[in-house]
Amino acid sequence: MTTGFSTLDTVISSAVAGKMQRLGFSKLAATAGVALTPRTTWKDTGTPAAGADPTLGVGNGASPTNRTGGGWPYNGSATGTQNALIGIGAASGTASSTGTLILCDRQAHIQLSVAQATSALTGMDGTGRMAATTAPGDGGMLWAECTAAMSAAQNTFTFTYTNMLGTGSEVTPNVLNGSSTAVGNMAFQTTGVVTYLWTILATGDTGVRSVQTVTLVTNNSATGQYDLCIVRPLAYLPIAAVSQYLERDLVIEIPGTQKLYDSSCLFMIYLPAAANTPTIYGEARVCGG
Amino acid sequence: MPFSTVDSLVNALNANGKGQFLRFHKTMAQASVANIPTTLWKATGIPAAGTSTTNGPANGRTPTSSTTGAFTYTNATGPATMALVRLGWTSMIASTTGSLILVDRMADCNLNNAQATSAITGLDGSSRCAATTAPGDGGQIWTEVTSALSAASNTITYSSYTNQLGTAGQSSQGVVTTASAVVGRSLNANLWQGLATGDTGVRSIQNLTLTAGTATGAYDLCIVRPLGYIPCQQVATWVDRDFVVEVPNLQKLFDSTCFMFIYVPTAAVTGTIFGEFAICQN
Repeated sequence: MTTGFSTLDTVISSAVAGKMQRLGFSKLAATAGVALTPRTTWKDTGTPAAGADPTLGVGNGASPTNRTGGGWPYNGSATGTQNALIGIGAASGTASSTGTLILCDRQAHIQLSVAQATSALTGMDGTGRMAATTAPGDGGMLWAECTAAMSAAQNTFTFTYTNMLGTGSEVTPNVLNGSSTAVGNMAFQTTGVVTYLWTILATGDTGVRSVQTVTLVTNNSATGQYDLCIVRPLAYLPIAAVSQYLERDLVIEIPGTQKLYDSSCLFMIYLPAAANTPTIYGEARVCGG
Repeated sequence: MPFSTVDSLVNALNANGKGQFLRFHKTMAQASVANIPTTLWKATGIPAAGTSTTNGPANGRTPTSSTTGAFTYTNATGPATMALVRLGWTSMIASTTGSLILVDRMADCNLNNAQATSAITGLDGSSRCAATTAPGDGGQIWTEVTSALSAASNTITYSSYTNQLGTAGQSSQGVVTTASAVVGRSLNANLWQGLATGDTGVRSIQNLTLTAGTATGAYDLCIVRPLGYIPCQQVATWVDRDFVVEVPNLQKLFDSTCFMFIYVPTAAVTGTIFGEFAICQN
């Protein structure tokens, strides 16, 4: 039976009883970021080691775990307990590297070409780390990160997905690949100028459980590749000034005590305030109760 | 049966999984005006853009969590109640600093700027208000331009409204509309329009009086309940508010609350923002 924390006292008692894991990280960006454009840290070097992209192609979706290269290694919860995220802190060690870090569970990913013809996708399923589809349901957000530099030309495509309630055949509004987007940066634009961190979903949808198809709506001979990911945002952390450590208590200060599904593949998205190649270090704390 | 202890909140969020995490991502439909409150009701993104009612004083409504533009969520299962526990956001566009105000859009009605003196029907937020016993309960009057105003000012009075105690026939202070006001902004420089002396809230609005002017344009007249306020002092730098311990209020959320944001920008921008807030039932 899974329990979880029922009181603040149980968080404290579990932490001091050795059920807390401190997950240190130190990442050097693999590529330069662009001011105000979210970028992935998935392939940044450091601790944890750089992740790898799934093999290119519609048949190669996967659900990475805490044991996948790039994910943060940690132990799953003991029988009768469940892990929760109880805190996170970070600082940057590079000039101008302010911004915001978003810790996510990378629930599923697949690598596609922006010229991918309309096709079914396999393996793009995050339901292994989601709650039930009974209302309000549960799902992740769609995040796309550039893995091979994109052309100035832009193709338009949509995705068909299953939403947080388990309703299939939902369709995103049109998205475009970014124009001349560099590796590591957010891969999509929703119109020619507007960029969104999370890909816009159908009206009324709050999350995505799995993605079934990609539809190439307009082919303008664009080139480039991206990882399409289903991610669960777990925590947000500002980096307001370089070299100044900031922490968030996620139990009392910012209540959430977000359940951490076993095998969650933790990684970060970084929204930089300025163009830079940052070094970021910090620690997340996970505790079982 | 609201939360009675911090422990009960920890239990609900973690052991019982009763938290709902509502993510938003909005790009403004038009440029704002520095320091003038601006609606995000029709901003595109997550959730999708909202719409106005059909124009006219007979078309007031009570939007809910199922209305397009609102955040979709699931109501508490009685006798439990839902509360707002935290809110965080930042911006992705240069100069998009300012304050964000999370509100419940309790009632709205689209009106012409030059709407003649008339009765208003359906502009009633009382289904998401507490009792009228003292101190009573009510929302604030918020106005948002939906069709640009012409180059002159009108003066409008909401000449009969029901206040927080259920007292009918109250009259607002005069609203002098800003000439050439652009879409999205408040009718004037006010965040909340002035009420009668002694009043703290509005449950419903029954009449408006056009005191002066013929300027054209249209606006949504809304009754809203402010739920949380949060600054963004620095672009791309996340800000959080905990509504339990740090800024205590654990604001009760009535069933079917229609969440939306009002943004007070420090500069003229067409901002893109994102964030998340958490609600939880006990």
